[in-house]
Amino acid sequence: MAVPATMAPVARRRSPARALWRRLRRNPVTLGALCVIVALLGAAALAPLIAPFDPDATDAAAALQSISWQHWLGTDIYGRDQLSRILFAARVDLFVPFAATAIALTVGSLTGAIAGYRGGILDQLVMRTVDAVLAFPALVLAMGLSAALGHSIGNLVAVLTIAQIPVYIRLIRGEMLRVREMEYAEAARSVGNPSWRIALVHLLPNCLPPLIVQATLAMGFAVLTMAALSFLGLGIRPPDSEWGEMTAEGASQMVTGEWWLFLFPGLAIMVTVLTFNLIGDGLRDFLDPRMRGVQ
Amino acid sequence: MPDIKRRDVFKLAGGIASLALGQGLASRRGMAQGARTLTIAWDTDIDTLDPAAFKSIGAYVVQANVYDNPLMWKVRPVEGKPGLYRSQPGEFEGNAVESWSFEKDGATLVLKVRPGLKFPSGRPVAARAFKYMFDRGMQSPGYIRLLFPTLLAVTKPEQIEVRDERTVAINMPAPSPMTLDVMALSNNALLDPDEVKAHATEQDPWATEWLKRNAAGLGPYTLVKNEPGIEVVLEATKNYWRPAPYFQRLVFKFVPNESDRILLLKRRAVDLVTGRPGLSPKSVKSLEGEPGLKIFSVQDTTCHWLCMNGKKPPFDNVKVRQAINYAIPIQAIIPNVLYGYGAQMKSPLPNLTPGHDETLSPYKHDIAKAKSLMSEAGLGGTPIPVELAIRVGWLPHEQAATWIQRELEQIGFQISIVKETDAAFRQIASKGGHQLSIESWQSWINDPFYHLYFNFSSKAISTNTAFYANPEIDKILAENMLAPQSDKRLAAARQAQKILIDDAVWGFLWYDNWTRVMRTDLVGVEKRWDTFERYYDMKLA
Amino acid sequence: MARAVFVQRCARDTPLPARTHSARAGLLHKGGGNRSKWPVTRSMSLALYILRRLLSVVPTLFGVTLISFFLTYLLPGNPALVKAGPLATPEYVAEVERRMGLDRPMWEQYGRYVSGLFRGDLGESASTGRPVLEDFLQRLPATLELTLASLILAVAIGVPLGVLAAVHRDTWVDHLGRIIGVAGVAMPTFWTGLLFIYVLFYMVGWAPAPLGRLAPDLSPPAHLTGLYVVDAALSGNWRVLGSSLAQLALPAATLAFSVMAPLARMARATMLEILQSDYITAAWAAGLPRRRVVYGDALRNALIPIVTTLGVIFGFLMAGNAVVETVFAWPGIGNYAVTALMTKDSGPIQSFVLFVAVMYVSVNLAVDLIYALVDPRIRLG
Repeated sequence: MAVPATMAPVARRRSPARALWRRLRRNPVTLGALCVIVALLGAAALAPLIAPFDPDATDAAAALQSISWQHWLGTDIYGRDQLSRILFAARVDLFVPFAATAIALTVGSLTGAIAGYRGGILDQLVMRTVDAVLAFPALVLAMGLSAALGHSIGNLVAVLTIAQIPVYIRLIRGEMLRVREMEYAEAARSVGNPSWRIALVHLLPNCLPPLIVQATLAMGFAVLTMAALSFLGLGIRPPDSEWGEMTAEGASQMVTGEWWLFLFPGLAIMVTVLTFNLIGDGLRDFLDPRMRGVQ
Repeated sequence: MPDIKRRDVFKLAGGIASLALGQGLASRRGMAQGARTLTIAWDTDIDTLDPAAFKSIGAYVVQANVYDNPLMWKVRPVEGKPGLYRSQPGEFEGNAVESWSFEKDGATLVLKVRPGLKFPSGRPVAARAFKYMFDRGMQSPGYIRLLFPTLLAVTKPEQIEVRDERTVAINMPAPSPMTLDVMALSNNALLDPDEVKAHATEQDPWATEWLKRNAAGLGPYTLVKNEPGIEVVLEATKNYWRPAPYFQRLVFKFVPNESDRILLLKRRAVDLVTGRPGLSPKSVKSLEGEPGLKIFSVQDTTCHWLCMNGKKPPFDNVKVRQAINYAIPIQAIIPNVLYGYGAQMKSPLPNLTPGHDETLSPYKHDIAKAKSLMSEAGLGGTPIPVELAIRVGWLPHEQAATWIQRELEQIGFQISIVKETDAAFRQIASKGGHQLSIESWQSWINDPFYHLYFNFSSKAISTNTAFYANPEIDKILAENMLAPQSDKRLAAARQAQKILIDDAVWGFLWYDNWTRVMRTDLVGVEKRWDTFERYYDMKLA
Repeated sequence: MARAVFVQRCARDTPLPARTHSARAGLLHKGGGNRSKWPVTRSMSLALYILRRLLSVVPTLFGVTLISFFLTYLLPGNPALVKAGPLATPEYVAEVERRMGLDRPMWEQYGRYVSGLFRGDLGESASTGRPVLEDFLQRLPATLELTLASLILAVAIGVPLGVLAAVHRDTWVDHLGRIIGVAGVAMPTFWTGLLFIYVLFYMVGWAPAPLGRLAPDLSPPAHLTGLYVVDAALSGNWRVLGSSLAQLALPAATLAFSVMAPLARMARATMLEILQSDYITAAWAAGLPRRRVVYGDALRNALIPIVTTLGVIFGFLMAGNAVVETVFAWPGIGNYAVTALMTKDSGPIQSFVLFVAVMYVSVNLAVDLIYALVDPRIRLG
């Protein structure tokens, strides 16, 4: 549990890292999820080194082979090794949602902070826009935007960012409304700080905990959205491999019995999203003592 | 009173009994509403029914079955494949026309309209209906107005002459070898002139808006239902001038997923799968030996090639084009994409077309040679980013593109595959927006110069996908297009092939087979030059 | 994600008390003080709230039309070119452009678009050549049937699961529920569908072939609502009823599986909160039978946040529809929209996006109004 502020001087002598480790040990699920995420990120980063085959290497003789000792996850219709393709696809499937979430987080919280602090017309305008954008389910908005903007990686990042920003704006604005009347805000105002400085430097850091939780959960959601877009043919183009697109290709081979082509990419998506969700849950329990009692 | 013998009574009773039994059997065969129905699955929609317009495969199939044409290509049984028939070159039979003859050494074609034909409206079919049909083809905003001038040198409506109630004459400046073929095209649809004119307006004198969604003319079948994305239903025309067809009802179900089409076939929920593509070769292969189904596959004239836009560098350099031809892994593509349902393309002319010469092509998969050609062109150092466009849903193209991409990346290109829809693909292609793309073409008239003209003439802007312009080729085309059939003409075709192969205008890929998978007892399947099935003669064995 | 979305809904300003956990818990605890005022001013403040809520929808809808117009404005390709056909001359294309109003400034095009909406003119589809409204109305029943079936399934399985998990906290029921919930959210909807098809159809053969709404040899029942299940039941056509239910099973299960988790979590969290509240403890102390307390009053109070969550889930359902219809070849508007997105067919894209947003706004509006009418404070009386 969070150390009460009055005990702060004593607590600082105890290493926060050890406290964290103790917390994690008590929560094996979160620990496991963290390990998996590290492994995933490592695999994606080291893909060129650890992938057994070149992901684009065709091999007519080895086409459509099931799982075997040579090709752990089988091959597709061009003889390409599926394990290598999944490893390389991890780079796209982890990078794009991460970039989108990071940008959306930054832009969204800044906008929400200022709107929440200032109030008035600016606030109303921002909130009405956010309401309008949030009236579209995220995937539908992403579908429409990707059809309009195009299929490059940059555009996909933009699409996923736009779909996420409103959520952060609302979140931070809500927190800002709560926090701006507190004593330290009052203190900062009395000293004569300009409002943007108060909003961003003094108040925003206090709104961070729910933001971090939301961001982690949103990563999982962004991965799902990106996979769904590619599955429908609105996302990444070949030759870049991507899990959703690989699942779509595998789906068309299901009728002729090649089950390994749709199963493993989808499994990769699930494992990734699951770990992000578990970490997000763990973070929430860690950071927000108010909500802990209920769960 | 006549003597009623006991034998007669038994005969009568037997007759009644067998009639009842027959009825019972008929109803047990499960005919919908008492009509014999053929259920077909396809992956296409009807976008327009206007005979003069470019249309989707589904719309062509419907057009071919809903309208009579002046002539039809005759069909003969195929040896070894009972139930399958195909056309032979130069064999025609009259359809809406009863007989034809030539005058002025073949420069004038005289058609005699079949007597006694009536449109569904009740109006008789007379020569003026033919004149209207040809006039509309030549003047309405469509593409048929390109065919008559190019193939027959008929440019003015005055050249189509109504001589009397039953006679139409087409006056060409000189005889053309493709005259009768043009008459057999399904675009020459026998429209009911009065019906169509009733829907014409001042801004739309040829009723193009109305004909987009309606059909009005004489044909073996009538369009009764068109639900886009669901199904299309044709029913046999009442009081048609030929005996009623075996299948009185045709139901075309729209099934966009290929896996679903395969499942429907396996469950006998559909009798036939058609389209282009209807089933990819891999799917056909997986259905070989399936009990209750049979596969009809014959060589055909459909060409598939890697189109290199001659107006975009570096594809304007002949060495680059040759290098690409040496890089195409055709020895991997043919078995892994076609599974035996096609043949390697060795010439720009299809292998069934007169004049085809397969000995002229030196190209084979040779990466070393490809690389040396690229360096001769001064390229191959830094990878050149290129987009390879293919159409969505054309699985063999998708697969071929992936094989090709891999090889081209070894000789100095960086390929990204772009999937476009049919409409977008055509739009971009017609404006010259593609760098590389995979195109296909099927010449409805199996004539070498028809094929060469539309694909390689500098004047055929919308069909010459490589934007190829070679005055030598243009000259050969101009001299021989409308010349009578002769050895000289064939030799000219051969010469044109040599030029095109040396110039590596196309990245040669393959010729498709015409393949259909259907229930074992379906016979009367006819393969004509334009590949669209006509269901009139089909029946269950 | 449900949690995140839930927080988002809380942060919106509504005149009635915000629905945060603590606030809601506070609601249940608040007893006495304000109640004497309520009978007098309740109906007035309720009417005022309803009016304000209805009015707040207007700027949202305006924004929604702006966004959907802008989306299609950005679409690549020239719809006039598609309509004119590949062999049209440049003059003909310009003529078509003029007729379609594409040469006018953006704000004027927007005006045309909105006035078209009021007339019911949603544009034309390039691939079918028909008005989009016609295509929509033809395909809407299929999507409606799928959505309703999924919703029913999700509620029927998710809510009891959550309630049981709360009542038997920290037992195997709870853990199982949590695993299903967590897995359900993490599995991509299209993958779940493919997995269902592969296991239940290809491997064990229990489910029918995913070929659409009915087995291929049956024809649809007499058209009353367009929902095959309802129409078949109403006309007594049992074979068609059975077939349409069988065909509906897998797609509805797929969609339900992906939205079940938020429902179950919400049910569990709410139930736990209520079970721990003073009111319930008091009821138990007073000796009321446990079952009646739990499944009677507690559940009734728990239903309100569940209804709220339904509104949120509706958004997921509309989005998930597009994916599930694609996987199962279901002939609904989701499938239609995905095809239109591939072909960059602006009319259907615009209309689909607008339709989904309007549905989502309407459902949330309905949920808010229901919530206002069913305020738990009255229940405690």
